[in-house]
Amino acid sequence: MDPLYQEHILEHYKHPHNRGLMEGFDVKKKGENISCGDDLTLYLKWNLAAQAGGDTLLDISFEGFGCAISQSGASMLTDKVKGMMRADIAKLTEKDMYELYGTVISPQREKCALLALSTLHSAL
Amino acid sequence: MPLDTLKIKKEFPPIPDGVYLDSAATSLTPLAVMDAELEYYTDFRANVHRGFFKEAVRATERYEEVRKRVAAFIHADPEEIIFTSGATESSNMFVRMIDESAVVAGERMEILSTVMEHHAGLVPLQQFARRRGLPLRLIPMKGVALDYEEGAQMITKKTALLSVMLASNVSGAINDVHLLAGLAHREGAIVVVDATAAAGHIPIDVQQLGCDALYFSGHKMFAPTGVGVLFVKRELLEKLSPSVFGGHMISHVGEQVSEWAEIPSRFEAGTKNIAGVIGLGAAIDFLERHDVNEIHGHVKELVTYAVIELEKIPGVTVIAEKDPEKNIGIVSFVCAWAHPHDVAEILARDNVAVRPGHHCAILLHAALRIPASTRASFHLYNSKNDVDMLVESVKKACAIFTQ
Repeated sequence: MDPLYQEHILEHYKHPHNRGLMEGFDVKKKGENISCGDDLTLYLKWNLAAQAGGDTLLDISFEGFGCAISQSGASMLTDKVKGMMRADIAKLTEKDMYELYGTVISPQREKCALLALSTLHSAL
Repeated sequence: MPLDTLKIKKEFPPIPDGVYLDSAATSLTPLAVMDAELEYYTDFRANVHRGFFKEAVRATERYEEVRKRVAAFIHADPEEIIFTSGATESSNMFVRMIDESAVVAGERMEILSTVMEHHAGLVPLQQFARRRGLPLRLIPMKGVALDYEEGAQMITKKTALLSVMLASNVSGAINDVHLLAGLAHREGAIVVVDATAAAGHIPIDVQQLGCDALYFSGHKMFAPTGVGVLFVKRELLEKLSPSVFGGHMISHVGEQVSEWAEIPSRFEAGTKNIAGVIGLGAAIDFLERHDVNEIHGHVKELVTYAVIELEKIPGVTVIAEKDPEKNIGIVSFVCAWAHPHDVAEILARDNVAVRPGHHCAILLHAALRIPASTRASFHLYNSKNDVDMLVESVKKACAIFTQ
């Protein structure tokens, strides 16, 4: 087993979750890593202030192309944040993202691994 | 004829277990080049063109000898050779020199280049065009080669400057610069050539190419990093204003106004990379000892073999000039299911050094409708065995990502 391309990462890359254009989204946000050619667009649908604590993310999807790390990250992150509150999503850190991968990400691949999270944060 | 790579490898520091297929990013450095640099630092460390002591005299002599060596290497005169920090500085400086002078004026209102260019050639032109409010037009590609029919149409009396690369740093394609320069000169345009990818792979003859200016870096042709060359034909160079000012480049300094030295000093302000220049001289010695034509002959066989073997792998598409005569020694490729970064990562596990990405040629990739590619580039120290290791590793990468 390759240390980086573990089964769950490849599975998310080959059969991504939450992939595709969303009908009736509230927010659309594009992110890219120019140097790699990774390209990601997130679609978010909010349930505005449904709970006392604030907005809840009702649905999220993504489109794009890029390396297995950036694309599997989008699949795993969208799974994780669906149903979360806006304030909690804002608190997600790089460490949370690396935990989804479950492996050490080399400095050369950090941008790939963090593309989904940084795009999501800029969409909040 | 294949070269004796085992023997050649002895002229370099030991290459750890693995295969170096990234010479298009930077070549390995021969021991002789390092020795030449070290000799400067240990035996005659002094600034050039200044002191009277023996080390200063020797440093100046060696520095100026390299100018003659470079001139001979590209069939120019020593006065036409300007030392720079590399191709990027050469390109920026040349465009600034043109901008500061009155050579682009009047009816000539267009800048012409190609979609194939490296960003080091393209972006300074974009900035120049924007400053002057001139249109920048780009000759398209037909496959991986330039579209010469379209190019011929685009070269007109309006063309002020044509900037074209001698060979692509992505597809390896050698461009017919002689043809384009002839057309551009018939219309009175200035022609500048980016020979960075080509230098060290094919002979460079500025007379045969018929260009007005040409530049390249040292570090892709066995010289140290941080040194490069800008050649400008004397007739043009004498009309150009300097773009960098300081010591050495003046003939007279007054309180308000200064006057410039003769060419090429006028364009070499400050202390240049003396050790780098001396290393460049040793790199040219190395290239001439091995003969650039022999090197290309060797590399051509690797290109042919790599194209055949890579194309056998299901899902792999080769992005390269497939006629080895017209390829400097680069085979880029894409895998249907694997992004170049993932391919390069798997290859790195097998110690196969390649480069993934857009290779500073985003417009070339856009024209081919791919976001990025993986590039394998060859030089005289590579062997067929290296290609075999590349191919095995690419097969592995493709297998991991096959849907």
